[in-house]
Amino acid sequence: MTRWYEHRFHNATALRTIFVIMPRLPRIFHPPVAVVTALIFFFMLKQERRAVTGNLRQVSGKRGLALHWKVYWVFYSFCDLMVSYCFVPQATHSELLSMLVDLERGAAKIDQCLAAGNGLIVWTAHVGNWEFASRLLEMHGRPVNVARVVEDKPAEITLRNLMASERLKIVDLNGGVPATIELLQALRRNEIVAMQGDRVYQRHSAEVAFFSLPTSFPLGPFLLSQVSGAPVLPGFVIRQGWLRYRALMGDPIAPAPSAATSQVTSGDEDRDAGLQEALGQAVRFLEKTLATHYDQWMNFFEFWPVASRE
Amino acid sequence: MLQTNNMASVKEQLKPIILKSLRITDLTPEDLRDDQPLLGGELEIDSIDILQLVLEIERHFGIKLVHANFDQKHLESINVLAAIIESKIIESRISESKVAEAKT
Repeated sequence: MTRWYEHRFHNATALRTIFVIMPRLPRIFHPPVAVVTALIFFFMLKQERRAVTGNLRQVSGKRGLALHWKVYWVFYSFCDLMVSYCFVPQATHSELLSMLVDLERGAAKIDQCLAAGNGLIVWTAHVGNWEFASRLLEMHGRPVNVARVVEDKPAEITLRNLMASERLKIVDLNGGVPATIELLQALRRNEIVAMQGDRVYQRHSAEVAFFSLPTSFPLGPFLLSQVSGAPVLPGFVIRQGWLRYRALMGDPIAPAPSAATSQVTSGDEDRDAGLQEALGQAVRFLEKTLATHYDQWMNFFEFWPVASRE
Repeated sequence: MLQTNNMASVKEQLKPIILKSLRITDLTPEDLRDDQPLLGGELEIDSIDILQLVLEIERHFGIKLVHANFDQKHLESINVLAAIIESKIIESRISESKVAEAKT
């Protein structure tokens, strides 16, 4: 399994420093601290900076200073995300709502999807603040199952433990088959499953055009949708200011048709075409979101390796 | 939905489904033993394969295989999985007949 994010500051000590200092600092001082911190990391993390620069060049077509400015904002957005761990996990629902700049958060779409009784898969990505997004989902009165790969590292485990609660369960995809069964059972109880779909951890993926390049995305969420009957709702929470957010929801994607798959003799191509189409719809919404908010796309590795760009 | 009469018939139908779901082309249903482990053995079912397998089984037999009490041990072998499918088919028939009785 690919290890995505291995920079030397992603450790328990760095997290403890944030958790000790930031909550004690008046909120007005947070942005200046983040400006300086982001600048330090922008210069120190050369490999990550290069990767983000390449990613954002592909997404935005920008070059030169304008591009570097946006790359810097990715680091700033990451500071916002890390500091939000001091507030978001324990925030009450009204406190969470007060962090939204716009109360329209797609609640009606979510409730409509859940009304069918097959659960809901929320397809998100490493954009904005996905932890805030998962807490918003709790407000629909059903448990939220966040499916993610939790690496066996103290920092990752700390973050997982911070977010986990009675209403928000972290399902570690390293668990393999039992984790998948757990997610399917959750959907059959009409619960919500949230997954980040912009990193491929498994061999089951499909290529779709993404910012003009063929790009692999995981098929898992769409296969889970097909089996459970749950629609997939693409959605992101983007940053609109320091610890201020806005929810963006796409349109629900119906489960990919699977009638042909009931025939044991049907071809693999037929089976995958529907899944790929559903994936394509989600990816188009991600593309649309990133076209404006690409400085909040936090993938600090080369999303398109040089070979595929060529 | 295909009708099944007994455990042997379920196993006969299950084996090609397993091969198809896992996209295994170098084995035939006859190559699969009844006690063949589904997890951790030669078949190496992973977290996505299991979805494909569940999808095919549920469609083929017209049952809901994965419910609250389903867990990893039900995938111990083809024998065990076939027994679960068989019991789900029986459950499904009982509930269908209850519905039919209620209607009359």
